[in-house]
Amino acid sequence: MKKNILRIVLCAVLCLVTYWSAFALTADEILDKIEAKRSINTTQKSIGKMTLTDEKGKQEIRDLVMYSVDDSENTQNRAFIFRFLSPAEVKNVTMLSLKDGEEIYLYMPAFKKVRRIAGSSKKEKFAGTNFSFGDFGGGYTKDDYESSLVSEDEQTYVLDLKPNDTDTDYSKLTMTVDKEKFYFKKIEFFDLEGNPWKVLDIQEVKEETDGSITIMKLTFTDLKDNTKSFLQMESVEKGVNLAKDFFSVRTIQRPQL
Amino acid sequence: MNATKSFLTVVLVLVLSSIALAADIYGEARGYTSYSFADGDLDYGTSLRLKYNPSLSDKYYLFADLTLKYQDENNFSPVRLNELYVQGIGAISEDIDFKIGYLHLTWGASDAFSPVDNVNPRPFNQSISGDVFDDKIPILGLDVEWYMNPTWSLEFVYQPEFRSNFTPDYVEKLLLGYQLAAAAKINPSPMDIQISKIEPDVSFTNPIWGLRARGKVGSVDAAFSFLKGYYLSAYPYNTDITTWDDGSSLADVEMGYPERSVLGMEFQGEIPGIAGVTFRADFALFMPQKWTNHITTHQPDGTTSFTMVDVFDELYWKVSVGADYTAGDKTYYNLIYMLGNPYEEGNNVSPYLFLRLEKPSPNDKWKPFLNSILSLEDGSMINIIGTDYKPKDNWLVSLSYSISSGAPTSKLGMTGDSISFSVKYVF
Repeated sequence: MKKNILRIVLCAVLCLVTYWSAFALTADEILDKIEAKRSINTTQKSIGKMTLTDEKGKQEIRDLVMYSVDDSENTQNRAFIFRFLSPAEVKNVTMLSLKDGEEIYLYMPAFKKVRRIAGSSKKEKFAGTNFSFGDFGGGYTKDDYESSLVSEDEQTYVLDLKPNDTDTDYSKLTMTVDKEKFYFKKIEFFDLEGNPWKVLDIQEVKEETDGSITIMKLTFTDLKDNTKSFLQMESVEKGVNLAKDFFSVRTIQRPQL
Repeated sequence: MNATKSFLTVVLVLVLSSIALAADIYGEARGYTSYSFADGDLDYGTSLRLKYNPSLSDKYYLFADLTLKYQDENNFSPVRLNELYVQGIGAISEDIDFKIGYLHLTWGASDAFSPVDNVNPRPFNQSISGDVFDDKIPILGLDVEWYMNPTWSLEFVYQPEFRSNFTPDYVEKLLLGYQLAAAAKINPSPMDIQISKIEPDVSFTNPIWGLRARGKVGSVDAAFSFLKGYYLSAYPYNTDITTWDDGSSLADVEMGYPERSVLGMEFQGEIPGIAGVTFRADFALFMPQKWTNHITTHQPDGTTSFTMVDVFDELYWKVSVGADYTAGDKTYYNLIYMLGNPYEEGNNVSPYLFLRLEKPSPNDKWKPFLNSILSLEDGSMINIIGTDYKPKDNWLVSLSYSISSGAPTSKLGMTGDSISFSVKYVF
């Protein structure tokens, strides 16, 4: 009888171990799941406001419009256009990102020409925000980062991401991932000396009917210069009918998008 | 009188600014001053720029850009129409955009002066700041761009009216005096110069025109252009100099605008193997009409001599090749090799090295900078050290000090030292 009980307990333990090892996720798998949540093949138009807060607490509000296209089959087809609509100082300053952030162009109406932004220029801040061109760039895929799972609790995973690109401002990113919906709730960026530098906080998301996650509110904080950019989307339209060559240098020179 | 004009201009700027704020008009108001230590000259001015860009329909847009400018001297015009055009986006055909009216067209990839950027004439300016290269006189024309495929587009420019650079009379006579005196071997100082100019016969049937193909060659953005037109500054072709016993002289100069064609190439991209550096390069091959200045000199003793000076007699290149890089500490470096500056043509084209350094403060409110330009021909140099300051996002204050070195007759030594201050408000 005792032998039978022992067999049952051993069997149960073995089953549990097998169960957990089968369902525990690696860091790369978590990144894949995040990508899957965002990589829905669709075009998107977002209209919103960005509130910039300087180190003295003064605020400036900018209206913006953003178009994006995702392609889960080929991330090289990912592109977006980001344009400020107001105030006058940045009116119609437009950024075009192609090939998942590999090629970036900036159109500044005052100069009447499109400027290619390459390499370390991606470290420059975009039009007075505390986003660099590179921060706008693309997602956080396992191809771009060496990832490891640091910890997890009932609601979140915490991952460490080390950039594969040697020409980067960051030594490490710490990403907190929502276990239920698989989106990153928070990313902490560390400088090359390992000091905390920037924090991206996702404050509100919308889960679409197809399961994809749309970010509605986020705050990007620069801890070194104590500035914040708060981005709030007022409307997000998916499946927008855009011309085949919409994501192009031609488009960003137009007076209206 | 000047004080009254300044006051009235300031009042006008304020009144129109408030009107502009009420309408869907945007722009900027600017005040600036500079002091030249070399000649003790104080220059100053104010300007108000107003822009209006409404949509006429979903495919047609109007763009109007007007500047009211008061400047103590060398003002091209107190009221400047910078641009006024109708723009069609996919209006004629899905793959064609166009602009028609008074236009500013900017060609070239270079951050500093681009030798390919030859469509618009320019007002006179002694500064070497980036803003100066964007200061242009509009042309009446048509600009059509056909997007042939996702990679390449073809632009056509049609200009049925000739407009020249604006050079103040005294500057033109000063430069001409030195050239003529050297050619005729006489003293330039007591020379009285009378200039008559003949503009080229440009019309609807005999237009200035250009073609430009833009696209990609590998991963490099490229453009190839051809511009058929005329030099935008006048050159002498007939000069009659009479000299007298006291050493003074009178020069009657007939000037014209030689024909020229310009073949241009523009490139911008990343340098393979050098991470983080963006290169921008413009090459322009100028093909001028043969142009000779026939100089007749009447000496006090009654003798007459004849000299012929070739102004343009062969092809020549103008080049701008540079690279820019932003370091981890946000210091921005831009180094450019230039063959020829905006005022040099033909045999006068000479090499320069241009360096721009910027080091923004952590909060981006301060941006100290250094602009250096070195003549590789004679070693003369201009260094401008200064800072931009943004007390608020729509305000920009700039202070700079310019130091020149080299012989007074050198390329850049004649500029002298000066200090400049400007305030700009964007609305």
